[in-house]
Amino acid sequence: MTAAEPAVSETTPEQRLRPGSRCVHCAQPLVDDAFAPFCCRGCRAVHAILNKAGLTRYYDLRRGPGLPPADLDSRHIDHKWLELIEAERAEERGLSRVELDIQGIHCAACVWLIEELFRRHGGARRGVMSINPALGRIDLRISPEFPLSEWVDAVEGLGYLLGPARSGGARASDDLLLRVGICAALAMNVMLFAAAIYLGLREGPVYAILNDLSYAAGVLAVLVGGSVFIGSALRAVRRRMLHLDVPIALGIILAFAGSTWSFFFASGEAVYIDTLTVFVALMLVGRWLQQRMLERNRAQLLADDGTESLLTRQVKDGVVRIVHCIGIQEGDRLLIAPGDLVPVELRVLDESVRCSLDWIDGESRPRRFDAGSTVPAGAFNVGEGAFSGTAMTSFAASSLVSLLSRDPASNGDGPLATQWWSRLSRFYVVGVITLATAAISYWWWRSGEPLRAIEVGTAVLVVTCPCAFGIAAPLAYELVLTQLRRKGIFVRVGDFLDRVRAMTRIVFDKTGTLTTGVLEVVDPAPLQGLSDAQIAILYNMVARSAHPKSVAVRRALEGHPAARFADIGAEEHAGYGISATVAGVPYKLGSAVWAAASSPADGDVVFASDGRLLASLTTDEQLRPGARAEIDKLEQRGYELAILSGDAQARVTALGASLGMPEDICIGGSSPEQKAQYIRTHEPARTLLVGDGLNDQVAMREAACSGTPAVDRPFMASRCDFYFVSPGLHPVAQVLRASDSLAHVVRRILAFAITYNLVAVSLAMAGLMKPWVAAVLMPLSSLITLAYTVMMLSRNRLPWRS
Amino acid sequence: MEILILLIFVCVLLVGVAVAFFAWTVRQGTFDQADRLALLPLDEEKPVTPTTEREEDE
Repeated sequence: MTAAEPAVSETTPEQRLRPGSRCVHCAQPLVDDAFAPFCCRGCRAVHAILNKAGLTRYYDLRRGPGLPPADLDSRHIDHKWLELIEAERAEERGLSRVELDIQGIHCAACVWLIEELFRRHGGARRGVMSINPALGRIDLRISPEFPLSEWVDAVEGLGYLLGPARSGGARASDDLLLRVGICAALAMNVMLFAAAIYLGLREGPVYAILNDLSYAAGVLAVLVGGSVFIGSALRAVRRRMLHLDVPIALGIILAFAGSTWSFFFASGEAVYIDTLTVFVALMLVGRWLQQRMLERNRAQLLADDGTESLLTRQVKDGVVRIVHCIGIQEGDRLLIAPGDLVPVELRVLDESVRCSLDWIDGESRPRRFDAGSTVPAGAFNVGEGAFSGTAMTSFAASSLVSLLSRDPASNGDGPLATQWWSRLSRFYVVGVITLATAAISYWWWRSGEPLRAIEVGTAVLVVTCPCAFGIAAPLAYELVLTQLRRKGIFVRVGDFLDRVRAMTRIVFDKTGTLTTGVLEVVDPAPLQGLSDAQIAILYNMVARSAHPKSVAVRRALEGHPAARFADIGAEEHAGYGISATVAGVPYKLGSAVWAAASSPADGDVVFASDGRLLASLTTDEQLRPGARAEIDKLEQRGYELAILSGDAQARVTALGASLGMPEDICIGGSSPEQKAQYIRTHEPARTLLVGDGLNDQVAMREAACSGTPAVDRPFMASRCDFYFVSPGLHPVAQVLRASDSLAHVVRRILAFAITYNLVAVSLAMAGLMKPWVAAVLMPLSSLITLAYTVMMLSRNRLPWRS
Repeated sequence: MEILILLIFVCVLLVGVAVAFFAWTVRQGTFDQADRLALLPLDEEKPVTPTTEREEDE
C-alpha cells in the first residue's frame, strides 16, 4: 500500500452523483459522492486493479449487483495459517492438496475472476482448482512450483478473504434437495395415476396396479418427505415450543391415516393420496429454498471454530514457530507481527509498540506501549514492526476465551419459531382436531355408518392441510433474504426477521460501527495553501508510514497532481512524527509541540519546515457515509437510539452531537460487562445491538437481536443475527423495513389461507368434498398464494429497496 | 389392455433411473454452482485442467 496509488478515479463531471446512480464496481446505490462514481475506497481500488490487470470481463459476467470489498487499508490480514500450509507443502513432493475457505464470493463472475488469477499464476500448468461457491470452498491440487502466497495476495487484493478450510461437508440443504427430487417425482407419477382413476378407470387389473402404486408412492412420500416435518414437529413439541411444522406434520399424519384406513378397511381405494404427495412435495420445496438461502449467507463467511483455530508466533530456543494459541503457557515468549492479534496479556519487551485496542474497549486511537508495560489480550499490533513479549497468563486464563465463548442456546435455526407462530400453530392444531371430531360425530349420528363418517373426517383433514402458507411463507422469507443479500445484508439466523419486528431500541457501538474506524482529515483546506513542491514532500513523508494519522493525511492528498511517489529520506520518530530533509531544508510532520514549537497551532497534525508552520490539520474518526441521515431516519420512525462505547466519554459525546444525538444517550467509557449491564437494564427484549468489537460480545448475548459490519475480523459476524458489508449505515433501517413488509405479506397470505380453508372445510363438512375436488383446489390455492407472494415481494414494489 | 401393465412398470423404472441420476447430480454439487456452469459454454478460453498446456502471459 505504500506505493503511490495512481489517480484512478477517472471522474468526469458527468459521472458525479446523480439520484439513483450506482457504484461502477459493485453496482450498489451511491450513498454520498466522496468516491463517486464508486461507493467506497475499496471499490475504487479493486476497480483499478481489475482495469490494470485486464480483468474487466468480470463486469460482463456479473449478474446483479456485487458487494463492496472491505477497505483494503484498514484490513488486518492474518496469514499465519498460510505459513503452516506452505511448510507442509515444502515437505511434500508431487501435487499437494490444499483446501481453503473463501469469504466474499457472490456470483459466477467472482468464480471466473479467481480462476483467471489462478491461470495467470501458472495454475494451468501447475495444478487444478475447483471452487464451490455455495460452500465458499476452494479445492487446490498444486505442484510445488505454484506460487500459493502470491496468488492468495492477489485474490485478497480484490477484496476476498481466504482462510484454511474448516468445518463443513454435508449440508442440510443437500439432503433436502434430494428429498425434494424424490417427492416431486413421486407426486408427478401419482398425479398421472390419479388422472386415470378420476377419468373413470374403476376396475380391472390396471386399476388395481395403479391404486396399489399410488398408495406405495404415498407411503414413500411420507417416509422421505413427511419425516422432515414430523421429526421437526416432534422436537418442537418436546421443547414445548410450537411452530409451523406442527400443523403441517399433523396434517400429513392424519391425511395419511385417513387414506390408509380407506385403502385397507373401506373402499379399497387410496383416496386423497395424490393430494397428500403433492402437498408433501410443495412443502419440501418451500423448506429447501429457505434453508439454502440461510446456508449460503453463512457460507459467505470464513467458518469460525472459536478460539481453537487461533494461531500465534512463539519464540522458542531461538526459533520462531507458529503455534495454536491454546498451548500458550505463562512465561512463553511470543512474537506479534504487524496486524496480528495479541492472544494473551503480554509484557512488552520492545520499545514504542503501537497497538489498537478498539476491538476490546472501543478506543479509537492506537495506544503506545513501552518495554515493561502490559498489552491486554485482544489488542492488534498496528505498528510497522513486529514486537515480542512474555505471556503473563496461559491462554486458558486469557480474557479472550471468556469473551469468545459461545452461547450454547443461540441456535435459531427452527423455522418460524417465534411466539406469534407458536400461538397460531396452537390455534390451528386445536381448530383442525375440533372440526374433524365434530364432522365425524355428526355424520356418524346422522347416517349411522361409521364408514361415511370417516370419509368425511378424512376430507376435513386433507383440506385443512396448511399448504397455502406452508409453502408461501418460506418463499416470502426466501425472497426477502435474497433481496437483502443483494444489498449486502446477510441474515444468518432463521427467525431473525420475525424477532426484529419487536425491536423498539437500537443501540450502536461507536468505533467501527458508526465510524469506519479510520482517521480522516476533518478539513483539508490548509493543504490548498501548500506549493506543489511542498505537497510532493508531504506526500512522500506520509506514504511510507502506517501510522493512522499519516494514512489520513495521505488520503487527503490522494488525487492531487503533485502527490507522486519519489525517494526522499524520511525518518519516523515514534511518538512524535516524521522528519525529512529535502534540499537542506528540514521538514517535520507531527504533534504541534514537536514540529513547530515556535508557532502556536490548534491541529493535532502539523506540517512545518524549519520550525515554521505550513499547515495545521485536525484528524478525527471518519463517520460511515450517510450515517447522519440514517440516524435521523431511524429517529423519525420512532426508534429509541443510543450509543454505547468503550471510548472516552468526551469523544462519544462529540460524535453523538455531530449525529444530532443528545448527550444523555451517548454512553462512553463502558467495559464489556458495563455494556451488558446497560442492555440488561434497558428493555433487552426490545433491543437491537449493532456493534463490531469484541467488547460488544457479552452485551450481544443480552440483547434480543444483534448485527455487525465487522466481516474482516474473526468471530464477530458468525455470532450475530445479521451482518452487512456495505460502507453505509443504511442496512440497519433496511433490515427493519424488510421485516415489516415481510410480516405484512405473510399476514395477507395467512388471511387468504384461512378463508380458503374455511370454505373448503364447510364443503367437506357438508359431505360435498370429493377427492378430485381436493386434488384441484389444493394446488390451485397454493399457486394463488405463491403468485401473490412473488408479486408483492418482487423487486420494484418494495419501498425499502429504493 | 395387458400391455398397459408393462408400460406402467417401464415408466416406474424410468422414474427410478431419473431419481438416481438426480441424486448423483446433487452429490456432485452441480446445483451449488448452477449459474457458473451455465457460463462454461460461453467461455472462449479453455477450462483449467492439467492437460491444458498453454503458454502463460505472466
